[in-house]
Amino acid sequence: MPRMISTRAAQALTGVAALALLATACTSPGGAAQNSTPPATRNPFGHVHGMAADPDTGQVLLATHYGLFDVSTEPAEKLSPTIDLMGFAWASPPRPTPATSTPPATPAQGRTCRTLSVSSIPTTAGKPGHRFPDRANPTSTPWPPHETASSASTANCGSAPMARNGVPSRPPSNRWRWQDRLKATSSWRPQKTASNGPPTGATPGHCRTERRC
Amino acid sequence: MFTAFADPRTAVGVAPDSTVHISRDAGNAWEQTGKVSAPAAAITAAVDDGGELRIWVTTDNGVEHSADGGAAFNTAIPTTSSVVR
Repeated sequence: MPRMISTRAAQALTGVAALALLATACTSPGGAAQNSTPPATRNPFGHVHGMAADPDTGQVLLATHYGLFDVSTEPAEKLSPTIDLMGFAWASPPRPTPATSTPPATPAQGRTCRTLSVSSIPTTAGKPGHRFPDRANPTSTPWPPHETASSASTANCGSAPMARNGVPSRPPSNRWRWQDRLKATSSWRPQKTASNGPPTGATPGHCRTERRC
Repeated sequence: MFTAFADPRTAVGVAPDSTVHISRDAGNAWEQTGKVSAPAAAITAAVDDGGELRIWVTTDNGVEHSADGGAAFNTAIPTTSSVVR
């Protein structure tokens, strides 16, 4: 079914707020990412990596060097924290069907972020002092624990041990590799259970962090 | 070339020379339809309720919009800035 957009919404998009778009490189000559704070210039977006037009709301979203912006309002609104969105794709929110006429919940519109894995590079990447993980030598890496026991959503995690001691959860397919890392970096050891099987609780891969950006 | 799908068969793309191209067979064949005013950084497209293909392209001059299937573009969002954080 083709994506549909109302004519009125499309017309609204043509009269929206202003912005400056610079197609510059993403790193400085020294290699450091410029994703900390937008400079005090007339361009708050840096350069644009991706865009989307929402057929339902008439929004035009820009994924930029400094975060996600809704430019279909005047003035434009910054939806996300300052983050270099190198890649971006918009999954249109679900629409009511004749069988389910209840509208879906209001989407987060980019204001909340959910960490789905620990393989993403933190926003400090590229800053002075940051070291990228060395997967070949886990003990030498800083390995920032994105998803900790204190920050993880306990509603779905239960007592899943993968979220303990500041250790992020991993998808089941990567469990063997993650266990190797646990041995090298953490004092935590798997709990023994009556069945001697895997600990109770949610599947580690389902233990995710959701936070307000 | 930056590309985007408006529906499962209709794809649009903008080339380094700022020309805009459309494929109506899921990317097998392409035809040039128009041109934006400056080098592009991103593109997206959708089909409106009248069946018209609408295309948005971010360029050095701002967001340019076409309401006629890519034949003509106008700058929908000009190049100044004002942002609520």
